[in-house]
Amino acid sequence: MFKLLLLGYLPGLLLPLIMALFPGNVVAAWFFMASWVVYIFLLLVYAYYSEEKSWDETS
Amino acid sequence: MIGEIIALGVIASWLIVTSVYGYYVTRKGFKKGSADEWFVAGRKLGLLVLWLSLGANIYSSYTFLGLPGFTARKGFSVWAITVYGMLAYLIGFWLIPRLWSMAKRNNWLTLADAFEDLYNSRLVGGFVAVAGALWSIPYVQLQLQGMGYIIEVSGYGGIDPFTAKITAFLLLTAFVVFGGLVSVAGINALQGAIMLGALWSIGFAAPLIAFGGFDRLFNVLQHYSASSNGLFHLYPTMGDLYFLYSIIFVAPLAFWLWPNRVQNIYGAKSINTVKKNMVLVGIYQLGQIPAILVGLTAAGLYASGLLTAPIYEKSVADKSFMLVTRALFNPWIVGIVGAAALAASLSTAAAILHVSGALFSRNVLPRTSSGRLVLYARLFTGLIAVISLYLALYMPDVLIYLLLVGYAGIAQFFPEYILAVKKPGLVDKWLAITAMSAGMATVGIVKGLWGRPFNIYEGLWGLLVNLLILIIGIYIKKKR
Repeated sequence: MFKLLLLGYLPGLLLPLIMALFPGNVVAAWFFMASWVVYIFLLLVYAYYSEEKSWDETS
Repeated sequence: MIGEIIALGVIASWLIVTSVYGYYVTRKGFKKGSADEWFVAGRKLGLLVLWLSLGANIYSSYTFLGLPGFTARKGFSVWAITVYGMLAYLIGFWLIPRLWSMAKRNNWLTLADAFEDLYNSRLVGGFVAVAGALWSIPYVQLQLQGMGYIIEVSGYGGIDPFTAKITAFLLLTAFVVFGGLVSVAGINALQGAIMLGALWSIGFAAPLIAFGGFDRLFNVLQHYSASSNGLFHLYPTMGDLYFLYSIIFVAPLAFWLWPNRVQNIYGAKSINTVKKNMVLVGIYQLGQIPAILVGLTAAGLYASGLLTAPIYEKSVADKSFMLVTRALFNPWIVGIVGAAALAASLSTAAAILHVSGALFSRNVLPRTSSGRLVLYARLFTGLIAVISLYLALYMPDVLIYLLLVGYAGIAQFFPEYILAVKKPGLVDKWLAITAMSAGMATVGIVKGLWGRPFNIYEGLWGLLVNLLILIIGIYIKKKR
């Protein structure tokens, strides 16, 4: 789970890179942010399916 | 005049439907009359009802009104809100099923029960109950303000916000005082359904109808951005990055510790229901993207001269969603969207009020019979509602700012909760209360004196002070 959290935060480090690669490009910045939100949602779906088998109700 | 009647008629009809439904479910559920039933719906909420009710509980005026308003005023900054919300689901996926299991095992009915049990101290439970209820007041105020805006715009100027807020307040209080989580969850399920439909349909239809495509909308906005003296900007600034990086590490910690959300989760009938909901409620979070599009459409319409209200002003920006709907659609649609937005506000406010009463009666007052417990809960609920109404009427503020201040306060529960679960006994009750109080006081002082210095989220300063006191306290304890 900790790895997934790190993966969720990781795009935050890429944002300055996107800004450096596409300076002043509004579409790139907005597309990146929208993709980040959708990407975290997909991580969540992955988390559910990957943990479904190993879940212990008493944990 | 016709438009006003149609739009308000649709909203009133929806309110009547939810009232009747709430009354029916309350009567049905309340036959058992137990505190368990009133607090956590007898822990029997299924997947669909929990999903819709959690969605309606979490997504409120701040999504429908605050988020488009923030977008219309500030542009890029809004992404910080949407990203932290989605990150909160990842944290919740790890945190919440465990909390639910512990709650069921230990028969916790409120968030404060958890703290009371974990610290083996009624004082800590009482502190969390009072602090949780107090930090919830701006959240209820936000909803009442939002309801006022909705009715004001839907009334095409024919109804003053004062009357609208009073009406909404009366309905809201009646829902909560005469019901419990049974009725709140039932109503929220209805509200959640209509919210989701309105968000996605208007969010994507509005820019297409107004500008014929997203590319044209962005072209208009780029010109507007260049002429708005930096307040509205599409391209991120350093200030946006400071805000983004500070909020995404703090606000997600608070997301699942709002007492109303915790209590809604406690109502789930099984751990699988909880886990599935952590993923499914994320769909509502994705719904913030269309809400952002509505905000952009509002700014675009203003830039094109199609919307005359000064959208950059704080008091006008929060009406963006309703103003865009009124400018682009007929009164029937305005009524449906108004009902959805009102549903969002009403459901969240009802849940918060319900839980504030529960916290006070159960965790602050002396132990008493189940019947008296419910009575005290209802009385305290009314008190919180009146304070919130007063603030909404006489001390209104920007919706998103009200929300963020609340989050900053609630986030201070997180370190103490995690430490008590993971390292029981490491932090004693006095250290926990001192650290949480210091964190909350820091939030209040920073926000009150400096606003948001360097555009860094106020919750971060509070959390740093909270953690510092915990570290010093643990160090001293180990040295002894």
